Amino acid sequence: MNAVRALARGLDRLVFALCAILTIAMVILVVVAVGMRYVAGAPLVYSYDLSTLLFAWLVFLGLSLAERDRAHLAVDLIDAALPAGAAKALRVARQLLLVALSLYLCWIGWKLAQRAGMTIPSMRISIRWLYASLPVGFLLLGLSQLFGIFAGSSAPEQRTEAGA
Amino acid sequence: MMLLAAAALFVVLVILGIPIAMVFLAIAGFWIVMEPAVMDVAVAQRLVAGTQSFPLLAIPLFILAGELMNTSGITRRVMTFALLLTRRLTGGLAKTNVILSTLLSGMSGSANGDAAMQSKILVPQMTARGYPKPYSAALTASSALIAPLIPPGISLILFGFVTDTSIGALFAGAILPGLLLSVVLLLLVHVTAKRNRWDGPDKAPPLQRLGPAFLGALPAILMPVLIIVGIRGGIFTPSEAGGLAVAYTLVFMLIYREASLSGLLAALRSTISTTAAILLVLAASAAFTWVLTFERVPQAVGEALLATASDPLSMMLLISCILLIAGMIVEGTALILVLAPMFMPVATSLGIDPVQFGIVFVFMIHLGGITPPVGTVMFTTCAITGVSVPSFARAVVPFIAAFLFTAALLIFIPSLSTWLARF
Amino acid sequence: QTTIRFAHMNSPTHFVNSVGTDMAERISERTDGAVKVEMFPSGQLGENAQITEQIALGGDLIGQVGPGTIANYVPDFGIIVYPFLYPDFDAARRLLASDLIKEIEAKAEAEHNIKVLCYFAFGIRDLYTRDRPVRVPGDMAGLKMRVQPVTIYTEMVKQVFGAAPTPMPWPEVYSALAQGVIDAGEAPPAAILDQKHYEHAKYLIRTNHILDLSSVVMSASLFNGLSDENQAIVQEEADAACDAMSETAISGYESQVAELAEKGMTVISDIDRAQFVERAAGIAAAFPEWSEGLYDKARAVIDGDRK
Ligand code: NA
Ligand code: NA
Repeated sequence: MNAVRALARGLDRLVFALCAILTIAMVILVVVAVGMRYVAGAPLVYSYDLSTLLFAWLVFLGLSLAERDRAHLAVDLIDAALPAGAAKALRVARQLLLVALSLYLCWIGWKLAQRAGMTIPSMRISIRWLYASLPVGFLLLGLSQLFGIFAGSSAPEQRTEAGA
Repeated sequence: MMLLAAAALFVVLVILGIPIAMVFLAIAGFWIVMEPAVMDVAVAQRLVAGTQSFPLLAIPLFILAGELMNTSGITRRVMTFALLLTRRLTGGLAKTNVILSTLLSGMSGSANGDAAMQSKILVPQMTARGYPKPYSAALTASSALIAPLIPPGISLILFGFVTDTSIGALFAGAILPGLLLSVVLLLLVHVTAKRNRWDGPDKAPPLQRLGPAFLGALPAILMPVLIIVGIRGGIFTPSEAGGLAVAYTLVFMLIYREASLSGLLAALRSTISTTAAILLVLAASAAFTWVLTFERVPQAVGEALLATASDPLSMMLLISCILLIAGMIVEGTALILVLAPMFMPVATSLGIDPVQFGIVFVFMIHLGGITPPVGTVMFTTCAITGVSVPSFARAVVPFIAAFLFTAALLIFIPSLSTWLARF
Repeated sequence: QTTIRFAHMNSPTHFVNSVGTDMAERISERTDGAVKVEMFPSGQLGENAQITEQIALGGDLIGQVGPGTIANYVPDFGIIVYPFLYPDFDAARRLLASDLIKEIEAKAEAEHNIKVLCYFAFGIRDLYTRDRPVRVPGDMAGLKMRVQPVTIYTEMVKQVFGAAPTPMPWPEVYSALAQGVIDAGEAPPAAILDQKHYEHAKYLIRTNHILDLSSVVMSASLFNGLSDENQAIVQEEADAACDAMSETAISGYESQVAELAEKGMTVISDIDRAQFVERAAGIAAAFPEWSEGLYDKARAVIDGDRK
């Protein structure tokens, strides 16, 4: 059990570090693009495509962090209404369903990345670099959901603020 | 038949507590299995494509700017100013709650962020001064809905994105409705505090002068002005405004020197989690909507709406009612993403101004955030303040009435939303 | 019964949608309902690149997409929208019917499941500036010009017009022109009218720099799965639709230029086109992924009849 927790925490730190780098890179890219337009008069042609590529990786890698922070938007009314034992059983069943769904999405994302033949014109790289974010992100999300079963129940108080 | 099965599946999965984005994806998966023309790889493509738009970058950037505002010490200065401003008034602290949300909304794009922050720092103070806790929680949740209206607002960005409406025009148009809501709430607070004799005027000499306090709050107050002028003037795009907002807050963080490394990391962490959660709803609804469109569902919904109401005013009222009811059950972001593209062509075909429509739409779905049984802002506030949902629900009733009153003004007087958008 | 979804990014009132709707009706009629075509306008099923990808992945679709998008799979398609390539529409017809293009099409069909049914003139693109009359390439020196973030356009602006290419999303162009963030743009006259750019741009220069050819493409596996008879019907009706769309676009061009003049733009027609054409030859060097000598071969096909 402790090994699982340590693994979950290590993975979480690694993914967070990657996402933090992606976020900072995006901020720099966006600000530099404005600067290039005004100062140099010639913005980077690929800046739009590169920043949206980084964004996709940020979003899909971030899914597992959001799962750990309980930031995914859900309605958790039924848990409070059920007796403790039933709520726990429901929670495990729900996590297992979510793991299955994430693995399915990982699978179709993998198929897409395998079969896509397009080139991203401005950067002249294969669109697989973009689509790979999907299987990687959902695989990590599935793991995070699986770890969630062992992490024990957490009250709604621990839900972080999300949403617009 | 398929549609009915999918609708039933939707309700069951939502009630079981499956995150809304995963519900969308589960239904898309159901369709892939049932209908061979719907390709699994195409759904995967829509899922990624849902994130591939430059304007969407504004979302993490504005969230990060809002987070950094708390870390940098700007929030604390604005709070000092708001407290000084209201100390001689009846219900001063309740009014501070409203004014603080109004002043900070120029940096915060999300109602939840605003509600969480003020539940932590203001509700305990209000309790100490004798306000009933459910009232404080309801007020904090209600006034938090000003944040998404005064620019920047993530819901407005999303609405503009999915309906191809100028985000700059929506930002400009939403300023007056945001201020109007603020004034309506201030009036309501005044009447309630006076009648209940809560929190009388503070007669003691102030600890700080108003002038310097105003200067401290100025960076936050100037923010929406800079954003609007920059975007409407064609100097930068909404996403670039987000990047510059981050840079702007970083400058004040360096000047004030209040931020710690752990505070910075926490701001980044929260930005990433929130962004991933919102964007998954967006990407999943893009995939889900694609499946619906493939099966020509939105086209049918549009025709049904047009058959029910045929003039702009009754269409606005009809759609507002649908959004009010839907907003009580489904989370707002998902409603924008799924319903806005369906309703927009109907509204414009009747000659409704897209900006007015967008603002009323965003206003109505945010109202759903503070109504039971499902409201994200309500959940956030109740969780942090420890107020139960039923007592919150009782205390929030007058605020909902004030919201509906404001919504009616926005529906019947289009120029409230469109006037500033013209510049 | 086969259902084909016809996806495109234009509005429901655009000629692509109305001509497409007519085509759908005739196909259904002539095949006795065996082949049904449903219209999906406004990018409902995705943007051009994504529609093309869905077709490449085997989706049962017809799409209206430009050759520039198909060039993301088979780079040689890019030649079809090369700047200053065609002296007139007949020259374009000659190239499109040539073996050179047929070979490229065969490659897209065999390797990527993309079958081109037909081509049509989507529009004719012209240059417009805030306050600078342009007749020779040198007149554009020092100007900032909005372009789509696509290599062929940025190269054209750099090499032919000698201006600074400024990529920018289309909806932002109006305010950028008003503020002087950019000095020039390029678009078909219909688009300049639609976005009211004439309010902040004084000169329309009839460069006709790109004949904006587009194509109607279909999933090859879907097409090949139809009976021979139905294949012939789909092909014939698509050809008729392309002709109708070309006619609408070309006849609309002159009246839209006249409308822009009426709105106060000064229309410049006496440009030294030969100078632009000569400079345009250099753009090919920016496409190392093209087949050897592609530009020269295309030029030979186009100039062939006139020599
Ligand atoms: Na507040
Ligand atoms: Na805001």
